[in-house]
Amino acid sequence: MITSTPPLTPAVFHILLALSSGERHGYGIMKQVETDSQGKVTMGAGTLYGSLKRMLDAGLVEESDKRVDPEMDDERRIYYQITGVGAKALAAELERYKSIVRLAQERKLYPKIFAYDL
Amino acid sequence: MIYDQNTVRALYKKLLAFYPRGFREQLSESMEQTFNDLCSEWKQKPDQSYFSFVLWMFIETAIGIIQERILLIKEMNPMKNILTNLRSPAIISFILVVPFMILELINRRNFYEGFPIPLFGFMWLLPILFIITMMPIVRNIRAGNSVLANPIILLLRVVFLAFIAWMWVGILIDQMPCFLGVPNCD
Repeated sequence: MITSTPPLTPAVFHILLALSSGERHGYGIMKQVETDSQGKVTMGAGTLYGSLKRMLDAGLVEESDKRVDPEMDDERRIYYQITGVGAKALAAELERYKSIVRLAQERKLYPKIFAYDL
Repeated sequence: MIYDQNTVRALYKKLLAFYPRGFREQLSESMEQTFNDLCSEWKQKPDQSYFSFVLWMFIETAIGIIQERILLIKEMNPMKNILTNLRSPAIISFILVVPFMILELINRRNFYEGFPIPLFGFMWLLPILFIITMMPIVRNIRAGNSVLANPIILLLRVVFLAFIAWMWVGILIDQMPCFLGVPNCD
């Protein structure tokens, strides 16, 4: 299925994925991205907040509130949450990935070894 | 120690000030918190180099600042802005130079004598530079902002303004006899 939503950048995709399981503050998003990618994706503050700015402007995420993280110190942190538009964009991106994997399977590229690996 | 935690945090806060204003107002507080969280995490890792981490964070954030600045410039449509911003200084500067051009035309000793276009071109460009340099100061005053918020930049601007004014007045004094038609002037 081809969707009309434009493809997401890897950073935006990972942030949406991290927020899909609940509200998080900046540091929480970073840690969740690391966990989701099994440590393969490490996002710096510049990349994270640059992407968050564009996502806030596009309405993919929104600031929820400012509160203390019970697992950390007593400093109040700004939390971000995914919006309906963000959830749709994430679903469309996952659908896109799914169709690519399906295509790769049809061409017998996956899970076999790629020709350039031989 | 150069990477004392409080110093590093203060430096990072200073670095965040280079983000465009809109970005800074919306996200710098959150960025600062995230940086503090990361610093605390890295401080608990005795086997890792805190200095490498701090260096990476500063470089990564600096790249982010450059990207945001480039995006802002792209959004602003620079060519249109440059032309709009240059129009008024060009007109004002032209009005300033026109009397001397008229004087030069009236007092020419010989009709076929070459008109000093480079001289008037230069005399026209200098006030343009002067106005462009002065514009941000005037804008800040009009907006009610303190002109002393960035004293180093203000000082550089004032020095540059003084230099331009000195050059313009210098040329004018030097060339005035020619404008007035004094014989044997150069």
